[in-house]
Amino acid sequence: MKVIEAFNLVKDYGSLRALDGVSFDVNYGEIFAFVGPNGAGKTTTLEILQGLRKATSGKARVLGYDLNSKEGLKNIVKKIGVLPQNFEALDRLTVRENVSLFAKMYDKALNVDEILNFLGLESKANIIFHKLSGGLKQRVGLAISLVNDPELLFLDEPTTGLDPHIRREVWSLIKRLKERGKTIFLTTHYMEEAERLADRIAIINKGKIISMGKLVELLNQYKGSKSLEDVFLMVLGAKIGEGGELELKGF
Amino acid sequence: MMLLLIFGSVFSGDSQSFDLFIQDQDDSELSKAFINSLNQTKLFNLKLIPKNLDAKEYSKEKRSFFTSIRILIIPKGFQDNLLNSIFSNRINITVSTLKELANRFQRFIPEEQKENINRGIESFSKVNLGEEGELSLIFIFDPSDLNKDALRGSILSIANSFYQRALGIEESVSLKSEEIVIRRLSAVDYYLPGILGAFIMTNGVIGVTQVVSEYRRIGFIKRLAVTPLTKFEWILGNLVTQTLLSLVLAGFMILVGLLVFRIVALPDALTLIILMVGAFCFSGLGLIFGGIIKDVEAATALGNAIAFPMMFLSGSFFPIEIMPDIMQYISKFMPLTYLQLALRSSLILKDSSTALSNLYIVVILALIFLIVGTITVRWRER
Ligand SMILES: Nc1ncnc2c1ncn2[C@@H]1O[C@H](COP(=O)(O)OP(=O)(O)OP(=O)(O)O)[C@@H](O)[C@H]1O
Ligand SMILES: [Mg+2]
Repeated sequence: MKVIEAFNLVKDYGSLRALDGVSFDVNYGEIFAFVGPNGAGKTTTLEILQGLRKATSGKARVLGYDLNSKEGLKNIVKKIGVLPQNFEALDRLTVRENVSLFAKMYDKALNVDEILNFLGLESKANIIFHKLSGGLKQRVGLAISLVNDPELLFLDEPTTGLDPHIRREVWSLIKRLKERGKTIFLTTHYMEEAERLADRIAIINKGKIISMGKLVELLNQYKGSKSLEDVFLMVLGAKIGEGGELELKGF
Repeated sequence: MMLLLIFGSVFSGDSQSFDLFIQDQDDSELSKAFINSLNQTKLFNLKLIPKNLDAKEYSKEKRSFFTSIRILIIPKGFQDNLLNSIFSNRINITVSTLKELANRFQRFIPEEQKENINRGIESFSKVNLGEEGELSLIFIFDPSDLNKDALRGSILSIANSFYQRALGIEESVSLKSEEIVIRRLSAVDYYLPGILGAFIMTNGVIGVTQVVSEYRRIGFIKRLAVTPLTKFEWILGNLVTQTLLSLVLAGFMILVGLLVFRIVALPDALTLIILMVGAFCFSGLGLIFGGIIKDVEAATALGNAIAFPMMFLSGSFFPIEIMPDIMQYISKFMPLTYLQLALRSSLILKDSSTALSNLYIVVILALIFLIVGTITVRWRER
C-alpha cells in the first residue's frame, strides 16, 4: 500500500520554479528520505503534502486521501505528525504544557506522560521550553508530532544543527518509531543520516529528483561508488557534463 | 516625530471654540447683552436652550458627539439684581461722600447737628432695595470635562468685564458651579477611563500584534495548521485569551487605583462589558496587523506608529475639542475615541444611554476586525 503518491509536482514561487516535476511513492511502514542541498525543494515538497501549500500543478494523495479536497485534508491532518524545520514550541510553556496543548487539538490523543517517557523527557516535563538545549527542543518537537499517534510522520531536517552524539540519539528514536509501525518521510542534507536510516532515498536538487531507490540500488547503479556521497557527486558530475551548474552549498 | 506633529498642530493657536449651552431664564435686556458679549469673544459656540425646558436633559440630547455637557444658566432676576447693584453702588458712593463731607467740615458743624447728620446718613445707607443683589450665574459641567477649569475661568472674567464695561461698577461676579453627576469623585477618577481605554488599546495594537507576528516568525502558525484545529477556532481562541488577559490587567489597574489613589468610580456591569468588548476589538486589530506582518520588529513598529497617535487623537488625555478641525475629523475614525467615550459615560457620568450608543460602535468595529482578521491571517497558503 502506498502511503504517499506524488505525481509530477510543480511549484512556482513567482518566477522561481522550486519544484519541477517531482514524482515518487512512499510505501507503508518505510523510512523514505529526501536528500538535497539548501533550496533543493525539500521543505516545499513536504509542505505541499501536509496541505500547507498548493502545488502549481501535479497530483498527490496522502494516506489515500485527495489533498485538494477539503474532506481529504481534514482526514489527513488527523493522521499525520509533523516536525517542521527549525521547530520552536511556545517559549514560556513547560515541556508538558506544550505537548498537552497539541494533544488537546485532537479528538483522540495519546497519554502525554507516555509520550514523554518514550522520548526520555519525563525528567524535563516541568522545564520551560525556552531553557532547553537544541537536542531536547528537537525531542519536544518529536513528542508533539506523536500526540495523535500518527500513521505517517514528516520530519523536516530533524537533526540539523545538533551535536553528533545527540544526532545519534535522534536516529535511534526514529528507528524505534519505525519499529512501532510508523511510516516516516524525512529530509536531510546529511548523507550519513539517509544511509543509516532510510529504506529508500531520493536525491533532489533544484526541484528535481535526480536519483531514487534503495541505498544498494543506488550504489550498484553508479559503478565505483562506495557511499551515498560518491553517488551524489557522480550524479551531479554527470549533470555538469550536460552543461548544468553545480551548486553544493550546505554540504 | 508623530508626536511633534500632533503637539505642533494642537498648540499652533488655530483657535477653536467650545460648545456651551446657555439658558437665559431672565430673558431681559441685560441678559441678552451679556450673551452677546460672550459671543463676541468667539471662544464659545453658543447654543440657546429654551427657557421652559430642563437644561440638563436638553443639552444631553442636543450636544455634539465629542463635546462634554456645559451649561451656563442666567437665572431669573439677573437684570434686577444687576440694577440693584448699581443703585446700591450709587447709594454707597453717596453715603461715603456725605460721610467724607461730614468729616471734613465737622469743625463747622455745630455739635447738636452732628448727631442728626450721622443719623441721616445712617438711615440713608439702610435704604432697603429689596434683596441684596448677588450677581450670580450658574455653570453646570461634566466633572470629567478636561476643559472645565479653563472655561469656568474664562466665563468668570468675561462676566466681570461685562459688568465693568457696561455698567461701570467693580462688583465681582460669582459663578456658582454645579457638577452634572452628584457623586463625589476624586481627581484621579476622571483619568481612569482615558487610562483604561489607552491601556486596552495598546495591549491589543502593540501586544497582540507582537505575539501573533512572533508566532508566524517561528512557524508556530504553520504547525497549528497541520492539526485539526481550524483557523477560526485559533483566531477566536486567541481573541478570547487576549481579551481575558486585558481584563485581568485592567482589573489590576483598577485595584491599584483603588488602593493607592482611592478612586471612587468603580466599574459596574456595563463598564465591564465595555472593557471586554473594547479588549476584544483591539485584540482583533492587533491580530490583523500581526497576521499581515511576519517581521516582528516591523510589526512592533507599526503597532507603535498606530497606538500613540491614536492615544492622542481619541480624547483620552487631551480634549478633542481643542484640536484643529482636521484632527477632530481624524478622531472620528479612531476606534479608541468610542471606547473612551463609552467608558467615560458609564464610569464617570453614569450616563448609560451615551455609553451604550458608543458601545454599539465598538461592537460593530470588533465584528469587523474579527472578520477582516479571519480573512487576512494566512493559515495555509492555498
Ligand atoms: N515562500 C516562499 N516564497 C518564495 N520562494 C520560496 C518560498 N519558500 C521557498 N522558496 C524558495 O524555493 C526554493 C526551495 O525552497 P525549500 O525551502 O523547499 O528548500 P529546502 O530544500 O527545504 O532547503 P533547506 O535545506 O534550506 O531547507 C528555494 O530557492 C527557496 O528560496
Ligand atoms: Mg527546508
